[in-house]
Amino acid sequence: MIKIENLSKEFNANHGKVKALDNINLELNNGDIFGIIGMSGAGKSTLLRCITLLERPDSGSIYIGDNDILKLNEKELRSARGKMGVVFQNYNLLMQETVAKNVAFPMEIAGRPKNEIKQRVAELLDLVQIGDKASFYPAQLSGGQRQRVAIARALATEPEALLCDEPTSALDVLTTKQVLSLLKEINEKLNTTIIIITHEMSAVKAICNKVAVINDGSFVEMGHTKEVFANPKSSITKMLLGEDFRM
Amino acid sequence: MEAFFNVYGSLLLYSTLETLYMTIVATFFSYLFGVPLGVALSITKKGGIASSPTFNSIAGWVVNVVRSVPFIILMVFVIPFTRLVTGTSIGPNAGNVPLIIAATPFVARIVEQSLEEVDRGLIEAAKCMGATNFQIITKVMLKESRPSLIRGLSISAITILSYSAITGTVGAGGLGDMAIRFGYQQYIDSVMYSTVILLIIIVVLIQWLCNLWAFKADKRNRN
Repeated sequence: MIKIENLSKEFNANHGKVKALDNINLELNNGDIFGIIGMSGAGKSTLLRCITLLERPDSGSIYIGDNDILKLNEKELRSARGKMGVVFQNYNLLMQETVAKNVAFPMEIAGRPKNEIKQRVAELLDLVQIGDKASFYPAQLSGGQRQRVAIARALATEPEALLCDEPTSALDVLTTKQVLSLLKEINEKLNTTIIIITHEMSAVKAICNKVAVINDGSFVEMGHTKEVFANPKSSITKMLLGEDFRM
Repeated sequence: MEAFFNVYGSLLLYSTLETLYMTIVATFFSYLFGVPLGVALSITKKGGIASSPTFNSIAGWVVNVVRSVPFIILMVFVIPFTRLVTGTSIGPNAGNVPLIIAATPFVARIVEQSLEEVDRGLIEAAKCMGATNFQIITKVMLKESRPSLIRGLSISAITILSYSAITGTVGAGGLGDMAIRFGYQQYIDSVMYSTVILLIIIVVLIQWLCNLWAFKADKRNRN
């Protein structure tokens, strides 16, 4: 279970303080696929950086399981990080290592035994359907295949949740569909909670059961995807939907 | 020609070996000290994984100071230290001491520059996975920048090679020494040209080997 309470973050800008996140609240149940959608500059990236603690929020709590990860010390935090896998828009793979090594990486740094790592890498690569690419290097793969490696890597430490930052925004339409259906499959098979941060309405519509619309650092609307989109209340949701229709 | 090689052939060979010896030993030690220093400069920078502006500016200042001392001055200046370390102030081993002192900060900057090329997103991804700073340095930064580090090695080794020729002026041995004593002081042009040609060959070889190595090591070239 993931719960975010009263999360706020300010940045110092030339003309004074800018509220990047304003009192964000969020609660996920196990097995949810939760979409967070917003336009550029709405606070999506800051939210992601705060949830992953690449950026320290000014106030609030982030519960993963029973622990508020903001209250952990460095060492506790490092081991708690294994509970959340992160998938990035531009994959962030080790370009000098093989696919197998990339997937093994989170387990290696966690000090898992070698034979266990080897077995798990094979399982994970099969799960993301690139079992035949283990000895390839990322440069030899297509964008979709690279994102599959990144997903396998994010799943390596058996996380409770998968946090995806614009996971399909660099991919073409067909590959987007395949990656999204892979995420759905993982969600169903492993009961992994998934958070998808995106600006793509179609990605949210395709797989998210819940959605939050973010604008100016706060959630303007939140609920079950179908209800929110069938009956949009805020102007920003209408705009996001309208843009989608006009395409 | 044959007469020339009869007289100077074995000396040229010996000097070449001495030069190679000095270049290899000095490069090895300046990397031994320069890599940790370069890593330290890189990670303590603003936005680095162990950001420490105070350490960074002090270390940066020391590096800049050593690098701004002209090598020929530095070489003479450290002679007491050289004696302390090697027991002598002449010969290749004595020449290596100022070489390593001068090359270490140079190597540190070259390494620092290579590490700058590592994608920040990748370092953040490793952090998200729970990597310690040491793991980020060894498994991400140094690994990912390997091809660039190898290209940097060619720059460092060639610079050290040319500096090793300068150590010839104070009797460190090698091709520089030979060029000074025979070519410059005794006006034997053929010796001077021979040493220069040998130095050119060594430079070309270092560059060629490092380029080949860097290309082979860079997995982004696989397809």
